[in-house]
Amino acid sequence: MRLWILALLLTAIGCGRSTNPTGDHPQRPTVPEVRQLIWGDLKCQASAVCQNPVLNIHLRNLTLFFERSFASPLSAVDSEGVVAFRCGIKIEKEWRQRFGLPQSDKDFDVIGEFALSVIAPKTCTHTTDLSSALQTYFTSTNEYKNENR
Amino acid sequence: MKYLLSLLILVPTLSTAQVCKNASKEMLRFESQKTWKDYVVQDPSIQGGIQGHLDENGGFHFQQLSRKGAFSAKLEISKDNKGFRQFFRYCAKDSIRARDLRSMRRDGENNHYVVSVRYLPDLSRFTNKPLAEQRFKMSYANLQLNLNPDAASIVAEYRPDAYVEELREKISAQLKEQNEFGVITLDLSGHDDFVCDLVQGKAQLSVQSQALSLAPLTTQTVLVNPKDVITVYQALTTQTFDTAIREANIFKSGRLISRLEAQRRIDSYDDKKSYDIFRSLMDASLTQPALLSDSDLQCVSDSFQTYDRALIPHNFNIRFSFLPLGDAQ
Repeated sequence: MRLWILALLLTAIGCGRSTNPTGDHPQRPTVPEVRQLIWGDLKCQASAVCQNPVLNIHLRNLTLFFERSFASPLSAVDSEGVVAFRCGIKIEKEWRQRFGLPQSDKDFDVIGEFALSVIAPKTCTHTTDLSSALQTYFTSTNEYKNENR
Repeated sequence: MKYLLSLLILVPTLSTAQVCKNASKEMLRFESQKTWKDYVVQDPSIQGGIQGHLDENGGFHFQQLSRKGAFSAKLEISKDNKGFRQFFRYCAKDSIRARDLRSMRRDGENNHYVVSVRYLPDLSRFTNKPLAEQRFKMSYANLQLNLNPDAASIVAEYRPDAYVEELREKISAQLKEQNEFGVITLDLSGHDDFVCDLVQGKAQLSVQSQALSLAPLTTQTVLVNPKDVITVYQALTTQTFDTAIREANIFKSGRLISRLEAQRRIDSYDDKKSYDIFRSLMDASLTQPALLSDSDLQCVSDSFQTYDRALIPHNFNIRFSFLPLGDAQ
């Protein structure tokens, strides 16, 4: 009984997946039930892979990613344009390192739009209410809209 | 007395490369020296006989040989020569006593003659004055020396071939010792009859050589691969930019260049260099790519290179000939 509860808890927090412990690799399908707890009830989860590459990443990992790397301004000495440019380089490099290289130009664009919805390029910091920004993005996705008509 | 002479000289030329609006002086220097050693100029003003004269110091000079600053030739005859006056008498046009010059040689008078050829080209076209302040060393000199059958120095010579060979060795040895750029100086002391043959066009002397100069040259260091500039520009032009959201466009461009690096489609550059590349390819507001032609892109590439002016060993070609005028046409 205790083991069963422990397994359930680990599953719920995303640590119990034997196929993908971090749950953040876009190529490897994650366990649908887990994502249901993360992003809500999306039919694309049933097929294990969403067309939107962002939705294939664990919400908690995304939150940690932005909280770790985009909590403080990039640099106060650079002009705004340089900060925005360096911010683009930064997120591209760190996203690649954390979640892998976008597979297609379309994925690249989708990730860029997503990043801009939670990051202010002028300062290269995430929005004040990161959780809300992520939820807003989620509800703006075609996957969500299609399945919640 | 007519003196026949023509010179063929290799001189530098300006490059016809694209000149960018904001090209640095160093870049222009670099462009200007790209092909300077491969251009042949033949003096077009040679016509008729060329007279010689004695200058106020008693030196004997060819006349009308300084043309357009391209080159000049000079024969200096020492006033102290034992046979100073005889030389002019024996070497006069149509003189039947030219063979007496041979006697002067064989008697060991050792009269001093110096032939010098100044082949320094007009350098005003060159932004970097590539040759004006250097010295050089010939790495080889291909000397052609031919004497007419009636040349005073061989007409009564017992072994003319041996004498010509002796002259060739003497001149070749001197060519190897030249170290002033733009001037070749040949000491022909003791060769009264050969000097006369040279002056009268009965001896043809031509030199083709490669020389090692210590020229102050401008060198280029590639900091940004030119093809990367093109790749980035092509990538930028395929993007859709919303000109109303400046920072978002810049952010997007940063990601794009970083992605090109990750895909190894361009070399890796630091953030600042990447930003400079990006900025050079966008319009002033940085909201959309600038409209750039191929030559514009070339200029952008050039703007990322550095140019250093330094003394660098450099090979260049020299060719000049003393020839009868008719043969030079």
